[in-house]
Amino acid sequence: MSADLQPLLDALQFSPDNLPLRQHLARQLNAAGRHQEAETLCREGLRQHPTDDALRLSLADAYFASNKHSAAFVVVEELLDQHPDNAAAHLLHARLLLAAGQAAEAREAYAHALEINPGLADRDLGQALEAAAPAKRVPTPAGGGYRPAPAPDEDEPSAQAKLLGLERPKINFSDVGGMEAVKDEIRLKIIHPLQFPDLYKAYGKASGGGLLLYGPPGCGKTHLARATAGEVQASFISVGIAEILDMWLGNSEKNLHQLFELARSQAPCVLFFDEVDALAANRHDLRQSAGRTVINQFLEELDGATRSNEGVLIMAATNAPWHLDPAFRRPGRFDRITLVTPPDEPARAAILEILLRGKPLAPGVSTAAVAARTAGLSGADLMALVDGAVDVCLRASMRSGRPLPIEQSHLLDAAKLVKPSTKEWFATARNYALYSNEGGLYDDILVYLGVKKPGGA
Amino acid sequence: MLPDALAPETRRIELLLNLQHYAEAEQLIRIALAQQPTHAVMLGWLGVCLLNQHRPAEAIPILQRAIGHAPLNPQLHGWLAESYSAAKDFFAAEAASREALRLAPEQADFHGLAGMVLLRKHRPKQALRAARTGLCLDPAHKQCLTVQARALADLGQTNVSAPLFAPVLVDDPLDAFAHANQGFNYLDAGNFRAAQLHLHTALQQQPDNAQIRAGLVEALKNSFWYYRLLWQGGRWVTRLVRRTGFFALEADTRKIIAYVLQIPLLFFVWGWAFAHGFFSNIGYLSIGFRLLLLTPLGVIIILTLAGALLQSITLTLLRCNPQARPYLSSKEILASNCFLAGLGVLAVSASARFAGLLF
Ligand SMILES: Nc1ncnc2c1ncn2[C@@H]1O[C@H](COP(=O)(O)OP(=O)(O)O)[C@@H](O)[C@H]1O
Ligand SMILES: [Mg+2]
Repeated sequence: MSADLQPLLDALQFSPDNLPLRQHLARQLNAAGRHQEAETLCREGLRQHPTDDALRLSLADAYFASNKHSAAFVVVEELLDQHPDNAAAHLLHARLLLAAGQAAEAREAYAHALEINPGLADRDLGQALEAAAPAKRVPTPAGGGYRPAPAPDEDEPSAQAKLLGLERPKINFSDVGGMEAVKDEIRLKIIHPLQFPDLYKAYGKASGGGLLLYGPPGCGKTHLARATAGEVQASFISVGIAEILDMWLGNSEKNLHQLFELARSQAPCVLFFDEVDALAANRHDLRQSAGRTVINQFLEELDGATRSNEGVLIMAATNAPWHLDPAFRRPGRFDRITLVTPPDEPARAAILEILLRGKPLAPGVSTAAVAARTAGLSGADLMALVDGAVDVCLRASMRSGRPLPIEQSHLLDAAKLVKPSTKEWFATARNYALYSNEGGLYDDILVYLGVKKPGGA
Repeated sequence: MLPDALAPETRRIELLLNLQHYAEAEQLIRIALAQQPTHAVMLGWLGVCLLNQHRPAEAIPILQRAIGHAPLNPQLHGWLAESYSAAKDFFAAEAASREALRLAPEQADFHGLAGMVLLRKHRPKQALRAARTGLCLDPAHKQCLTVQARALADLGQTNVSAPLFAPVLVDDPLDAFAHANQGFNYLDAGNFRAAQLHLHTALQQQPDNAQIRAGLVEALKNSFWYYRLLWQGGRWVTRLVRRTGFFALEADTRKIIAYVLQIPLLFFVWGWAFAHGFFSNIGYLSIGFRLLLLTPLGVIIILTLAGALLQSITLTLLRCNPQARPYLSSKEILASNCFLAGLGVLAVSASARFAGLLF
């Protein structure tokens, strides 16, 4: 097979500007498993034609196949940004999302691909997706209070709403392993006020205001926010760093007011701002004055949302709460704040379970045992661990000439090589908690680090 | 310049850098570089991302590559100087900052940078000159003001630099930078109470600044009278050593000299061990040991050891003070632990001897 490509490769050497030939070759090389060469070929081509879709898709394919997932994500997402109707890109996106453990989103991407081009149906992928995220009905929350929204499948969001990032998450708290303390806090601080507004009013507790999740990267903040929406069967609007940058650059139709309006119209709805420090940066820190308008608009919308917030949960996440302008922590804004610590043992087991899903496993593999040996690792670190184990296993398979399953020892060996990435974050966080802890804002950090006793002074 | 296809991407990256989201910026930059591997500004920004993620060793070759493509861009040389400085290669840092200055002598930033590097190379006079040149260009340049103050302090002219930061504080009474510098000035001038107050305020604004924290610990230590003596002595010795030009030597040379100087210390310890019969009871070695004590080197060694001991005693005392304890770093706690462990060993062996006398 690969030998057949040589004449074409030679031809490309002669006429490197032949774009169709290059596109064809890139696909062929990927199909032949020669991803490294495909990557080089695409990158060379993209230098002359930086926006060529076929080359970008092949590049993303090559990245994906050689396990450079984050690079693949960026390329695919950029491609989809510009051409939301590219079915093949949606398909690859689905595979990437599945590999990243975001099964619900993967399902959506796959559905999207088939909508545009039904010919792309892939039985294996479909089955893997079905196994990873069965379309299930979430149990209704106990007690009266908020009328749950109609079940997800009955009213799919409109195309316009989808464009603004509206989704109906199919995961809930049962998809978040462990982390019981954080879940309880979320229930107490934001779900119950939504479900029992009258009770809260009777005790004179305001039910407005948002919840800010903070903590080291890769520890499940985004995952938790999405699961919260699923838990209360609410719609979910996620505003990520890419959208926030668009707002800053002023070239987005997704302006803040529209987003808040959409959330209000879709109530119950969780409006989630990921990496919110980019949107709520300390005005003092910013060199650009253009940002102030965005920040002020955000403050205005938050206050406006408080007045008409029936059924809108405002959540946000950040790795750097200290970069947030204190104005955002005033009552009625992000006045509740919760530390999301690195996953505890059950959480690690659950994450590993998700990461290993669909991979060939030896019978002796126990995620619980691996979880017990990986204290301090974040979700992202565990991803690196599994990647490492897969690498070793692949190499062994190549040597033996037949596919070998992942063994417990592969995982445990890989665990020794992964360093907890959250250490640096805690070093910084500790300093803020010790030296700039106005009103006990960061007490949770001190408690987690064992500097302070829980509840004590 | 960038082709149009990349321009919006470039603005995104710029914004991410501005918002200090270095990891995300790095991702986008690497994608952009995959399409344009020789883009000097992109390479420079990649260097900035790495530097700000505490990876100066990776930043250096990237910035060198950037400079290869755009040798006349002063900013690239400036970033390279910062990376070298972060990697503690001050000779290379000085060379890079010189190059930046040569290309853009009108920029106060580069004078401040050059001054900072010179300070870290223990060249206070040259640093002062750089800072003052920078201040001619921009009288309120913070880095130049800092360099000026620290250089004056290093030259022993503390009283001159004390009021220099008052104007900044009038503008913004909580300015971390001004408080930090004011605090360091008071520290140099021996007014430790005032130093504590200013450094404390500065640390509240910039909790992650290790220098400010270390300064505050120094101010706290100086609340003990004996430590003040030690501290003055230490500063005096530092100035003396600076005059010998030792600090201006290349880092490797310094290491070799320091290593050679340690050899007598080794003899000293061995002598001591022999003298106390740790290895055998050959008493005559203790004569050599006593002779060693009389030499100037012996005196220096004794003083150094006594200084280290006093340091760890002071740290242990601070540790017992709940107000001071949070400011100690893990290294300082470790020093105190070592001291306590030593104390424990001594106590055990003393009581063993005492028991031996009894029975
Ligand atoms: N408790 C958990 N249960 C299941 N998966 C988790 C858990 N915590 C983290 N993950 C997974 O780890 C990865 C990183 O989590 P993410 O929410 O993106 O972190 P953050 O937003 O804090 O940076 C995600 O793929 C997520 O699904
Ligand atoms: Mg996140």
